[in-house]
Amino acid sequence: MPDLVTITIDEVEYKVPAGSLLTDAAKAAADIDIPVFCSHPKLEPLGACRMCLVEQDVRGRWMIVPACTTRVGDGMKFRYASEAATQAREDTLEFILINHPLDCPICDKGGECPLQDQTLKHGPGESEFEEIKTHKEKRYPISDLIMLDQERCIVCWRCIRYLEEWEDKPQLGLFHRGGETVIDFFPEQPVDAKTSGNIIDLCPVGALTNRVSRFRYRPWELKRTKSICTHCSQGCNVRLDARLHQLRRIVARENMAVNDEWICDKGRFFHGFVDHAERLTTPLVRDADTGELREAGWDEALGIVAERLSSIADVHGPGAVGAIGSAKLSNEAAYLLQKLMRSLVGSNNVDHKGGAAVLADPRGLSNIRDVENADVIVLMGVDLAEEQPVLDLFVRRAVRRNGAKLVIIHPRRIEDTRYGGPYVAYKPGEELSALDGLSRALLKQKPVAERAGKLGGLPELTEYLSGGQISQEVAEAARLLAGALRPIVLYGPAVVSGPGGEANRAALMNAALLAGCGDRTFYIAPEANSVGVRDVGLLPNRLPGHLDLSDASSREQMQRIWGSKTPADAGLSYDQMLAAAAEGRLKALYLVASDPAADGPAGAAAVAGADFLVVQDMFLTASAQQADVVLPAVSWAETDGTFTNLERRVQRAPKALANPHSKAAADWSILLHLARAWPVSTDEQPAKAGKSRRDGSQKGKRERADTPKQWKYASVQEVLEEIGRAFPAYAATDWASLGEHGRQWAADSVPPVARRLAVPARPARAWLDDFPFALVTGRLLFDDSTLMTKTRPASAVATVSINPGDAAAADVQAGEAVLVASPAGQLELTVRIDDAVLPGTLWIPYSQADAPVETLLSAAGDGVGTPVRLMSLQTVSEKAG
Amino acid sequence: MQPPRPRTQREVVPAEHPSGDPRFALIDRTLKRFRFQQDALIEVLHTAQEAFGFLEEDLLLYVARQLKLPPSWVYGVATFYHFFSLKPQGEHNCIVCMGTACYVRRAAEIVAALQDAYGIEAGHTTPDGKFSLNTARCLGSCGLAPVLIVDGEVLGRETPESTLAAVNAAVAGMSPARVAVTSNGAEEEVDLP
Repeated sequence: MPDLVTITIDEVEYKVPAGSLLTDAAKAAADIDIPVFCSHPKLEPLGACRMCLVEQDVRGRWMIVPACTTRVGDGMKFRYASEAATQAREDTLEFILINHPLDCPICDKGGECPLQDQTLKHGPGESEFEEIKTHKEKRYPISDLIMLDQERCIVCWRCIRYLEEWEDKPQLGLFHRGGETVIDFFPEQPVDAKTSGNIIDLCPVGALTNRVSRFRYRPWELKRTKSICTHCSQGCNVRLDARLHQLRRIVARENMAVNDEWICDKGRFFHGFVDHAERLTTPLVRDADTGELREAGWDEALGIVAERLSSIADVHGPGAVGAIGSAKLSNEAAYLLQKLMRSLVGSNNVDHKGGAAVLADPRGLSNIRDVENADVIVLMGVDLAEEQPVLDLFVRRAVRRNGAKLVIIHPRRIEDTRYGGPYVAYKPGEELSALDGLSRALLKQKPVAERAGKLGGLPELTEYLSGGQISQEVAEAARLLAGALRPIVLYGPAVVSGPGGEANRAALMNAALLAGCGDRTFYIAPEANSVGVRDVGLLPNRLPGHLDLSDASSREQMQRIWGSKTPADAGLSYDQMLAAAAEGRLKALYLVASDPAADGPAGAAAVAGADFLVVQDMFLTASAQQADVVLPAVSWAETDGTFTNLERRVQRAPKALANPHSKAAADWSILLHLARAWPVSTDEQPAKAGKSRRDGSQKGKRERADTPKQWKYASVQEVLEEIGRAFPAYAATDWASLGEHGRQWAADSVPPVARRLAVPARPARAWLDDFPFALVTGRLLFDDSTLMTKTRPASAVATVSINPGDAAAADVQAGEAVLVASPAGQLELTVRIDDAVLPGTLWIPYSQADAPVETLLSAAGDGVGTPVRLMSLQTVSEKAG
Repeated sequence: MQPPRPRTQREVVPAEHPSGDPRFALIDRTLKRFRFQQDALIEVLHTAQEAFGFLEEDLLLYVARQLKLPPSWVYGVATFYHFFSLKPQGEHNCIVCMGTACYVRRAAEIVAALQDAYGIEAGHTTPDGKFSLNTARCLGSCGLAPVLIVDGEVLGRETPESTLAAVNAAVAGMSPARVAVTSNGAEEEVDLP
């Protein structure tokens, strides 16, 4: 707490924190709103606009000074309301308005514009300026997403400063001089920062406007809903602005714990899927006569699903039914899906992509803002710039502001390597060698050797690590880690996926323990609700609360809540379900927000192989086109739900809008009604003795007369309450107490990961001579996933990126069509040459249009260590010819 | 303007410009003289403009990369100062001072006369690349108002006619100063600022 000093404003004394800015001090102590344009609480003070002029007593003379750059000291005297100060501000505003166009009636900012507000409050009322206003560019795109009106700009530098101070990409500058000054970018280098849209929120006038939303609303007409973004696991707080049942705009909302006041461009601009014309608006069932999908009512569709799923479970056993959810589902929807599968179908065949295949640490990150306080940050197999742009802002802040060092261990030279910290490269599948190398180098550091003695298992590990080279970069990384006070390790799902996942995690933990940050090694979950769907048991081997399925007492605990027995055998994982469906062992497949058919041959075979396919989605996806029943779902914006972000923060996403012409329903509601339509099996009847059962009106059909009490929920909030009973960590996160900023569940609610040194069991991995390259894959921010392509056109070509040296050796040119093949499959792609790609690897991102990289992977969870080869198509056709 | 921040980016600074253009060696020499310090940007741009005549985008990018400054900053400085030109300049040029003293003594008429004679706006170059007409805020020689510079020679107490004569002579390849003095009847030597 800084010392308090006494300052005088307009003859009144106030106690304010020493060294605070006069604008802040005046607001806090005297409730005086000194008008500002350039000053912003999230940006460094600059003093460019001169709107905040006040008088200060400087050795007996009253001087005009800017309040936004004046730091207060003891005994300082100011005048805010004096004639001279008021006149100075009026004059400044008059000058600002000289060239400002009077297009407020068509300006997006009109109605929520600080310049309008200040003009009303502090302006002179009329202008003395009679000359012609300077004309500049009015429609000047500074990127695909942002439009600049140079005439409206008042040169406050906020956009320039945001890109410089937070993004560390100073792509905008002030060009020319005086009245001709304009904001612009260097020729042919438009703004491409991943969080550039924040400058629209920062702009105090209507100079920067949102190209997606502009002219689609007037601010006072909007219905504003405080929600969160569901594009990634950060869970950034946003406000959804709707008008006439359409989502017109998304803006950032402040939550200091999660996203400060920033959101990325994906969250801000890519919401077009919500109001998309291709959204499903009615249930579809496959007509028995025509074989085509036809529109149906909810009763018919749900009746078919309930009847067919239960009869398949009766005839072929519950194991013949499988459900695949998604890490984008809300906690409530995911919980009900697994409850339906476990308590009504009686099967543990429930998973999601990136579910059981990933050895995720349920506790995730301790706190997002802990990243800013670290002095050494290790990024292991995670590309924050593409995957978590807002988290990356905090990492950059730590590096630039606090001098943190960045150690990057990644199979690609990712953007954050520009900070010049040690970069340890590895081929996917050789994570273990990289991590063992780091442990080996750490043991050579004196502080580590002292610390390691106290850890169990050191002799075995030392022997295991003996021999082997230490590269210069690894040694440097070890030196930084050994000397660090607050190191932090962030690792992504790729590190703990696939056959090597267990060994990688052990090796990572070894290195972290040696570096003294075993308890500061955090898993970075990928999707919006990757953490939450695991918490509520959307896994084949875990019950809600991460309880072990094989444990009888855990199953009994669930039975008390669900009123029916939970099967004890672990179910099939995502990959196993796809394989089983393709082979015909899995008769019925229920897909919720999941589209395996778009993910290459394995998923397509599964969708084709299932006897009975139900798809519950927003769009008629590739999988939905082959479904027997399609259930139309709504987006996160159209229903209440909670999502758990990467730091275990449960946050509300309330309903912001609804399409009155659509019959689509929320995922949780569909599951609820499906459960209500579920036929009662005969052995359940005695349990229902107390309840009267209506006589079956339809002969031969077993139908529920009333809803069992386990499926009675008046609202999604009641589902959340039940989750709190199933996983007590959620007991404190009921809807009301979540508030606008969410709550974290306690990390000690789940057992900690063992913290001892262990020799990792190296899995056998054979590199094949025929396949000389290692495949590197990962997520891009702007990919061609379903939700993105419904918002903007898909990229023209799917690419494979190759190191320049490898391209020369393989004799391929940029733009050339090539065939990339692995033992599992092959893809036709266009070559991109990129020196961020390491020699001996090929980079193919996930979710490219019509070229799913999953084709090359032997199993979806096995995204690492796939050997591939590359051939130019010309060579292929010559060989064929 | 905020001071440029030292950058920690690892970038390969090429020993010499890949084009092999010897004029880049002049820039490199200035860069070395100022030990690649970022606040030497203006000096480096001076050298670049002298060597190349004007600052094209590639040149600015080269300077930005060598000084590890964002290109937008370098562009901002280059456009801020009137001296730096981002367009090719004519073989001959005339800079007319439009400062207060010169303006009062009808510098605008001189500009108008030159615009009429050469068919270009101030700030532009004739299509044949022979002549550029520019204006300046103040050349700092108010005692000589209206003052102008033709091909580096400062001429004072000009009239539209005398200026036109001096410029015509310069474009024709003669020294403008001599012509100017005789046409103006002024005896005194002009001090360079």
